[in-house]
Amino acid sequence: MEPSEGIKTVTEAFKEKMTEQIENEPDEKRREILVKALNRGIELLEGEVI
Amino acid sequence: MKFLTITLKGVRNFEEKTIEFQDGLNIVCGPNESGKTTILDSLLFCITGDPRELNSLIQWKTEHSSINVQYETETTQVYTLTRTLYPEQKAKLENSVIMEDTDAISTVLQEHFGSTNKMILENSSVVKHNEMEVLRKMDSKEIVKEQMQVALSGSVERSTEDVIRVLERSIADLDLSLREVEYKREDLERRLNPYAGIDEEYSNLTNKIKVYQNDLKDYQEKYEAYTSRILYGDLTRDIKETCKRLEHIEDIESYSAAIPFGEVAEIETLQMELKRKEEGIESLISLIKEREKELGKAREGGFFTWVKSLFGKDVHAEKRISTQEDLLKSYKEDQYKLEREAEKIRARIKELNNQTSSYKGMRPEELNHIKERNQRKVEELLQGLTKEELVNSIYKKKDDADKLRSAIFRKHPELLEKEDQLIHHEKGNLEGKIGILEKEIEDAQLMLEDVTKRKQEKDRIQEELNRINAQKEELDTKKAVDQLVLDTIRSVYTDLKDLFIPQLEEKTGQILQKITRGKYNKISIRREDLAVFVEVPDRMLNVALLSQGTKDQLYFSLRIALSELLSGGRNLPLLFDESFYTSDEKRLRETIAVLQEIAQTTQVILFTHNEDFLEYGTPIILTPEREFHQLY
Repeated sequence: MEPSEGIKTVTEAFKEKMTEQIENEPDEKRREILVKALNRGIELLEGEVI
Repeated sequence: MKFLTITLKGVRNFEEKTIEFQDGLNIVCGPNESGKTTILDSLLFCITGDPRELNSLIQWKTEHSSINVQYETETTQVYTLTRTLYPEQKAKLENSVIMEDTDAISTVLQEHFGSTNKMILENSSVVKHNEMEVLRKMDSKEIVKEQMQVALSGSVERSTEDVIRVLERSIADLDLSLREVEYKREDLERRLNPYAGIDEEYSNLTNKIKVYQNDLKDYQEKYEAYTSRILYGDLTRDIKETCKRLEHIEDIESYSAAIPFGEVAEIETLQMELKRKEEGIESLISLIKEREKELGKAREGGFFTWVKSLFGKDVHAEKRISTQEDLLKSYKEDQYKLEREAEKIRARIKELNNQTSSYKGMRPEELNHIKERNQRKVEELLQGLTKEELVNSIYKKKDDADKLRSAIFRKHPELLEKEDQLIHHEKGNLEGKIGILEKEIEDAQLMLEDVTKRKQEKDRIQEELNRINAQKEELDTKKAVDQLVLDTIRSVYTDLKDLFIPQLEEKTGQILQKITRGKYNKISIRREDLAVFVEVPDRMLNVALLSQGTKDQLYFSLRIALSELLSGGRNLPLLFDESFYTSDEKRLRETIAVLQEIAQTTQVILFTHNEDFLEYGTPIILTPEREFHQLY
């Protein structure tokens, strides 16, 4: 078998996508929501909250 | 990737043992409690370094505890990884160089094994106890789904679907809460309607009172200035009157001081003396008249005597006449003297009378009486004060008046120019205005009390509304956050599935082709329900229709393909931990055949109690005493 790139987990892909949005978001208020969304998503995906 | 050796020192029941692994299929065989799981756990611990596993591995009362694993990478690089568990915890990774920094070691291990996360490793490399039998009973799409969940979520406990369901439920709950909050908000806004404009009303009223109070303060200040001005006028007049009194007193005192007691006494004395002189004169005049009469008589009797004397001298007669004449002369001289003296006295009396004309005819007693009367008048004018006190009171009043004048001049100089009458008149007007303003303020304050009560009620409702609005904002934010999380997770999940499934199809097909010797070489996973199909000539066959052996081959293919995907194509060794515990003989033979196929390209380490497996691979026998017997 030829080596292939590893599949990202949803958590990794979610973190990447959210971080990219946060970095590119000029509006501070919207950025705050994006940061909250990032933390909330990680907590849920990593099973820290129900 | 393959494991070469593992050495355990002071780990659980092993004092010090080394085993070697070979390429292909390794059969680690031993009865229960012989240490199979210890070896598996030690292999995983060496890669993960998870400190939570530490205490369960260290041998009871050992002096030294360590695990040493030698492995070879796909590029044939050999690494020796040593983890000392006790008495201190440290790690060492040896290749051409020796690394002892745990973070650096972890980075290298992550590169070699794809992950140092125990769960990921277990799911990519370890087939657990009896897992094959459990999976055999599952539908293929469930197998794919579960493995996908592990692969994409990185967790078996919390799948992405679970997270999506949690978020959907959370958003629905938030919608419900938002509706409740909206009802409350509408209700509060309705309750606020009657209070529209109350803030303006309150503000206008408080401003009005403030203006009135300022005006009142101005008027009162002016009123005080008028009062001061009146006081100043009164004081000025009082000073004038007091000064007049003082002048009067001084006049009286001067008058008293000028009463000519000495002159009057002298006049009285002189008058008495004059009287005596005049009486003396009168007596002398009488005597003179008498003497002149006698002299006349003498001279008449003497005429004859005189005649006789002409003819002869009468010496006695002549002597008598001469005596009489001498006496008369003496009398007249006395009279003249007395008259001269009387005249002088009169002149003096006249002079004195001229000097004391006001007191003419007055006696010293009368003068005393006048003096006493003046004294009483002075006392009356002093009004109980001494003259010095009266003078001091004038100074004090003048000082007070000056201060008042300065104060008035500073703020209201115009008042100093006004007549007292006008001042009184204007002060009266001010009193009127002050009265009106005080009434206006009282009325406005009464109104304010009512408005304040209404405003407080409005503020209470507004505060509640603000709280509800804040709650709504918080819920809106939570919903926006959850919606954003949901949309993003759905999006990345879909993207990953779209990326994952074709790769899984391709890799599974490649592996299946090898282990079925080309009988099956392509599989397809239906996106809608993840059902697995195997390609046979002319069609795709549902996996449910395949024989159990083919299903096992497919499952192994899927498992290895998933391992490849999770490890990033690293071809990690597959570790089977009593995975076929309940399989019957026929199934075992089928499974072994598949394992042997897999072992052609992937190192397989099978941990089992079943000695029947020993003949199919490199045997590694564990005895209950933890002795190893490796047979080559």
